[in-house]
Amino acid sequence: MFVVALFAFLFYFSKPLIGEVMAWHWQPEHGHYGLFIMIIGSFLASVLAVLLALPISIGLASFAVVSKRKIVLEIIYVMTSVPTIVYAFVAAIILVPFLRSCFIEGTGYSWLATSLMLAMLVLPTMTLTIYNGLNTRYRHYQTTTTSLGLTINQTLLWVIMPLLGKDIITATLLGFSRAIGDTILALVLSGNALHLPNALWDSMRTMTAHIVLITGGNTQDIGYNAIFIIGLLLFVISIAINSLLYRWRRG
Amino acid sequence: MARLFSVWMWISVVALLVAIAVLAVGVLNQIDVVEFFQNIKTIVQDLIPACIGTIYLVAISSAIAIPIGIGTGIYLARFTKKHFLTFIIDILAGTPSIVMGLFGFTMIILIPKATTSLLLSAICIAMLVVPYIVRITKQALETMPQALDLTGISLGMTTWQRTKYLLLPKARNDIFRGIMLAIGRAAEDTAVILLTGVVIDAGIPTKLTDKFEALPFVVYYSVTEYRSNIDLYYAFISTLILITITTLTFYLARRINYDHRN
Repeated sequence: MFVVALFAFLFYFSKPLIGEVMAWHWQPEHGHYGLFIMIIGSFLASVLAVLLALPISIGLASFAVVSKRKIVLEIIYVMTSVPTIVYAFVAAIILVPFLRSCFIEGTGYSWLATSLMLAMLVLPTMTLTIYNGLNTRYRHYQTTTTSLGLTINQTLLWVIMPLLGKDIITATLLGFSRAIGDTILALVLSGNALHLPNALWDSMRTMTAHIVLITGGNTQDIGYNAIFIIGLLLFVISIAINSLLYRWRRG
Repeated sequence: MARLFSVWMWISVVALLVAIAVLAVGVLNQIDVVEFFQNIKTIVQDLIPACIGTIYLVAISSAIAIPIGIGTGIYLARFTKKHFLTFIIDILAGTPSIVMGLFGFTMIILIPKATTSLLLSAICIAMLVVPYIVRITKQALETMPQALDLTGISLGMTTWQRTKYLLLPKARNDIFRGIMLAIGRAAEDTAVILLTGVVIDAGIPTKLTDKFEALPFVVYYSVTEYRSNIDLYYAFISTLILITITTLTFYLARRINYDHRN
C-alpha cells in the first residue's frame, strides 16, 4: 500500500513538468509579447490585493488577540470556508455595478474590483497566520509585560510587533501566492481586456484567466501553447514561494 | 501611540464587518421574493443534475484520494526520514488549482484516447486534495505521544504493528478531519473542473467518461451569462447549497480538532 502511494506520488511530481515542457518546444511567436501583458496583469492584481489586505489583517489579528470575545476569530474561520466562486458571484452582482456608477468610465469589471475581492479572499489566511504569530509571542511575554505595567495594546505595539517581521513576510507571501494563482475571481471580475490597465478602474487580464479563455476558445493556433507556458510559470512561481517559506521556517 | 493602534484595530474590524454586511445585504436585495418563490420548484429540479454531478465528483475523487493520501501520510510519518518527499507534497499543496486542471488537460493530449470527462476531473481533484490529507495524517501521527510508541517497541512490535494497532486508532479523529477538508475542497473547486469536463447541460452522468454538471460551475455560468433575474436565482441557490456543504465540512473539521485537543 505504501509502495503504491510512493509511486503515485513520484508520478505526480514528474508528470506536470513533462507535460508542460513538451509543449514548450513549440514556442509561440505572437505569444510572447501578449503573455507579458498577462503576467503584469496578474502581478498588478495580486500586489494590490496583498497591499490592501495586509494592514487590515494585522489590525484584525491584533484585535483577536486583545479582545475577550472570540467572535471575530469565528468570523474569520467561516470566511476561510467560503468557496472562491461565491466571492466572485457576490462581487459580480454588487461590487461591479457599484464601481460602474462610481467611476466615469469603464464597465466596472476592473483591476480594482479584482484586487478588492482578492484581498477579501486572502484576508482570512493572512489574518490567521499573523494571529498565530501574535498569540504565541504574546503568551510568551504576557506576564513580563503586565508586571511592568503595560496594557495589552502597548505590549502588542511596542514589544511584539517588532518581532513579527518573519510572520508578516510569511503572511504576505502566502497571500500573494494565493492571489496570483486564483482563477475564478480574475476571470469574472477583471474584464479580460488584452491590455495593461491605464487606471484602477480599467480592465485587464491575468495569467490564470488567460488559460481558461484560451482553453474555452479552443483555437488550435500557435497561441494555444501559451497556456502551457503560463502553467509552467505559475508552477514555478508557486514552487519558488514555497521553497522560500520552507527555508524560512527551517532557519 | 497605543491609542492610535487601538483605532487601527477597530477600523479593521469595522471595515471587515461593513464589507460583509454590505455584500450580504446587497445580494439579498437582488432577490425579488415573490418571483423567487414562484420559480423555486423549477430551479431546484433543474439543479438536481448539478447536485448529483458534484456528489459523484466528490465521491470518486475521495475514493481515489483518501487511500493514497492516508497511505502516503503514514509512510512519510513512520517509514522514512527523508525531507524531500515532504517538501514535494508541500509544493503540490501550494500549486494553484488551475495548474492541476492544466495538468489534467495535458494528459488528454498525451494519452491517446482520453477526453474531458468525469473520471479525468475526479483524478485531477484527487491530486489537488491528496496533499492536504497527507499533511494532516502525517502531522497526526507525528504528534502522538512518544510513550505509546515506546511501549509498543518494548513489547516487541514491529513498526507496522505499532502503527496499525496503537497509533492509527488514536489518529482516527485527525484523519477524519483530513477527509472532511478534502470533501469540502473537492466540492467547491471550479478551476479544475472548468478545464477537465464540466458542461452546463450534461444531465446525470451514467458512465465515468461522461461529461457532467457541477454546482460551482452553475454559479460561474450564471454569473457570466445571466439575462434575467431568474438565472441569478439559479446561482443563488447553488451558492447556498455550496456554502452549506463547505461550511459544514470545514466546521466539522475544526470542531473535531478542538475536541481532540481538549
